[in-house]
Amino acid sequence: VPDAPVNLVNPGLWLTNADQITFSWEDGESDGEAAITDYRIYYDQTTNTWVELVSSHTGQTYTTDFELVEGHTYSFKVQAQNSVGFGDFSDPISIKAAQLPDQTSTPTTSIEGEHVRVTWSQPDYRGSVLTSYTITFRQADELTFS
Amino acid sequence: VTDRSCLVPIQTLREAPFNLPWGSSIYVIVASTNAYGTSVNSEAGNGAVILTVPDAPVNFRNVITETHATQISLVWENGFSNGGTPV
Repeated sequence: VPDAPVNLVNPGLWLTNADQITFSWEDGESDGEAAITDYRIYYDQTTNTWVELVSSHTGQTYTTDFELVEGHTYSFKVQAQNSVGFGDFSDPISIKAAQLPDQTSTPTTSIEGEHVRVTWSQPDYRGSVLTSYTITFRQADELTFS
Repeated sequence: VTDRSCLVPIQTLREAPFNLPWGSSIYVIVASTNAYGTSVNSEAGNGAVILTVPDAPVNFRNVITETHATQISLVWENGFSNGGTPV
């Protein structure tokens, strides 16, 4: 049988997008002298119970197609099959489904010449890398932020 | 914890839609976005006050009635803006 797949990675390093998790892997050192035909994927929704997710998957990248629970950590492991049978499971990979980022710290402001510097601390991004910040200033009416 | 910051030209805040007058405190809110969505807003932070130099004095003149052989009396008024803080 083939060696266990190796190097399971999530392209964003433990990050996910809003509703899907993608990860990939590589074949182990030996295919058992018979070409690998497909892979079987198991997952565990942090219940310490491994459940078959995909019985036969071709290719070395998998994207989930089930509904994720925000902030939930999912673990995956993969085994390769050739004409002889299934090899060992890979080491598992655990990936956290994204949530909204935490609230940002209260920003501070200071004057630097002809500019205002706004400073804040990066919040916990909750499983999905931050893509942008939105900075709004209060208008002269002391009510409206733009 | 990693600090983030950005620089905004004061002139931007002086113009629409902000229209902040000199002497205003800067109130600012930050929110962050990831693939899942946008966080709740931060509390409004403030502290910095935008100031500039005063406008030139106006109506600079000699008070003839108070001008004598040994003294000259001059008076003026403040310009339109004090730059946000008293002259």
